[in-house]
Amino acid sequence: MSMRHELKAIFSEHKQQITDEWVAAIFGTYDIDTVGFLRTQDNAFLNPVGNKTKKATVALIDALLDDELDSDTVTPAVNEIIQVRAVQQFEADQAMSVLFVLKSIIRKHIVPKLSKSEEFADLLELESKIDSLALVGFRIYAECRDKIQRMRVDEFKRKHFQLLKRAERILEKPVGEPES
Amino acid sequence: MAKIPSPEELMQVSYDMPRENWMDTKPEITEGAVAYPAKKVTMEPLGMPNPHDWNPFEEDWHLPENWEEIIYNGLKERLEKYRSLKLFMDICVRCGACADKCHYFIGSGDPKNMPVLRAELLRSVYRKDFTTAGKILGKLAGARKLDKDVIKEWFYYFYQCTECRRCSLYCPYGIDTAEITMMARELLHELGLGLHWIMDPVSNCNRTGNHLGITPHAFKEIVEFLCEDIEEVTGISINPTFNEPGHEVLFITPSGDAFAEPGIYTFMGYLMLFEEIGLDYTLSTYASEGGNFGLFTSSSMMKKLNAKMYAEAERLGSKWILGGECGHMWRVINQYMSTMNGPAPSCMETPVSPITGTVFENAAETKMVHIAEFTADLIKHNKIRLDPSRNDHLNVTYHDSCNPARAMGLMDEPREVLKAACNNFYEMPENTIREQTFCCGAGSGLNTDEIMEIRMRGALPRGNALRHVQEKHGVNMMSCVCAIDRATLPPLADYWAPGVDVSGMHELVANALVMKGEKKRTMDLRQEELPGMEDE
Ligand code: SF4
Ligand code: SF4
Repeated sequence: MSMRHELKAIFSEHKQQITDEWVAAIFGTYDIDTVGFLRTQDNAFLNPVGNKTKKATVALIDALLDDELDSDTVTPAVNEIIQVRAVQQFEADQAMSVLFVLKSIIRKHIVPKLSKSEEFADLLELESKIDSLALVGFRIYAECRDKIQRMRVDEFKRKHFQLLKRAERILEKPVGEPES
Repeated sequence: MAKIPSPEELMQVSYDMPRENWMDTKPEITEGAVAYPAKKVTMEPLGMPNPHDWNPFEEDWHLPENWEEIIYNGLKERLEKYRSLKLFMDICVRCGACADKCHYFIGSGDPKNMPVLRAELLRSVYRKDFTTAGKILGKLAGARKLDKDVIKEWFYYFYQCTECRRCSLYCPYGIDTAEITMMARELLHELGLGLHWIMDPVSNCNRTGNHLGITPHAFKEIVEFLCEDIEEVTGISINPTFNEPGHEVLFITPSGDAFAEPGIYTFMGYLMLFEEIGLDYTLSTYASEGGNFGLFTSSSMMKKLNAKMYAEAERLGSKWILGGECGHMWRVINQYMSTMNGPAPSCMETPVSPITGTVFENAAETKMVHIAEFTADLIKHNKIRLDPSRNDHLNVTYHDSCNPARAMGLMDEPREVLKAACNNFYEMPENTIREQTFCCGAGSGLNTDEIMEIRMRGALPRGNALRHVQEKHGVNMMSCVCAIDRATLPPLADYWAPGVDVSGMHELVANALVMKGEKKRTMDLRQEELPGMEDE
């Protein structure tokens, strides 16, 4: 079922504001001395966090306006936001909160404009879509954390590649363990 | 009952946040926030001051009784010894040009990772004790009292600086935050505070000459394994000499090239190149490490560990030293070696390529040539035959390692070599390469897995640029001339640009190298089938 005309129109009308507030809220999770930089440095290579956030939020808001959430659009966009937060100094809930907060921002702008009960039903549907984004985010977060764990193991193996090989050849206990 | 916070509360969304002065906020030192400490058993035999066992996650770091006096005297001594330090402490006008240039700031968003604030951590203490204004005005003049939390903060932030010097490139006064970090780390070492990941390799180097503590016979055996693999791939048998006097060249490379994947393929590349051009060289099992973690410890340790290079050249009667693909090794050689360990032994001469006759005037002082220069010169004079089509399945980019790029200006040679060895070469965006290159995120001894998250934050700017060329040009190989990079870039790529592999430069050179008497190459040095050249 797709969003009816009215809600879509109200959402579209507030799209810019909602996006801006969402970006501001995400930037707001960083130290106040960092926010200016995140906001103003436009070069994507000099400010990856700011630029990824800006691009991903626009893509996600547009995706929410589509009838169906398209995984090919949504997954990479959620990834841009969550992959960074998965290695920054955030707890899991703090890392994920940036997706959920979109609900409050949307409500703030849209609820005062709603009159008919069908429109409220539409809003609930929209919120379900945000839940879906959050689920995608949850999966990505878990994958990132798993990957970090795996990277630790792989790194050990690479570092001791030749020693492990030598150990195999002479059939002794593995040599070169980092700790004794 | 403990209330579960809402998303808003978790995000602390509040637009009128009380602004604390940076001096009043403290880092939270929890698991993953700092690397593991060096142990007493490691520090003591090295003669490091105040060796003790301690745990950064506990409140008490067991500092020596007179720790304040140690810091005060240590700082005083260094201010007198290094005029640069005094200048760096005095002349910063806090213009902010360096503020957003650090990969750790960019990736973490933590303002104390802005180089200007990182330096301020030391400068504030300097002001308090060494400037008149600071003594009188205190905090108003940006001065603060030294307390134990300041020491913790130093440990936290000076080990989130990879001494990469990107920030100094943008400072109108040329203030080098990397050197400030070095001084701060020296001061921390005075208190017996160091990292396991740095001091363990230092201790191993001190004992056996290389980071992993490999003994001479094992080193030789491991190099021989590589020769077996070369024979498998090329049909050519190579028997390098070890510790043999009377050869023109002594070859020294980071031990990671002999021991670690993917560095070993680059080591195989060196051996194949030397064989092909008939270089008169030997390997030393004592100077079996080009890397020098003393650089991340103290000037005296750096000097001690570096001394083996000239000592071995003298013992073996070498005319000059050819050095392998390394980053910080070349910072040590290029910037400090002749002052620290010079003059070179009298048997040594200004390096001349025996193949092309090129005189490496730039190495007249140290007598050491970087292999990227050496090979670029061979290629320029058409002295080796390369078949770059063997690398056609690779779309290659080049990561400028901080030290070769910013500490020795080695930027064109590696590119010339790669373009000769590969048909598909693509640069990453201009503001992320050459002098402006972004660090791998784990140089200067931070390449340890317990801080993998911190490393990945620092790796973001490089990883992001890499992903860009991956998407745009299908880049699937990032080449570099640094052994630390060959260890740190694989996880970087794995996290930020999965699907991109990492190689040293000479791995790609050797894959393309047409050797006299070789069999038809069907495999690359990793013994993976070369597309289009499989056995019929
Ligand atoms: S660029 Fe130089 S002068 Fe400006 S704040 Fe940074 S260190 Fe200070
Ligand atoms: S030297 Fe590199 S890591 Fe250190 S503050 Fe400067 S930019 Fe950051």
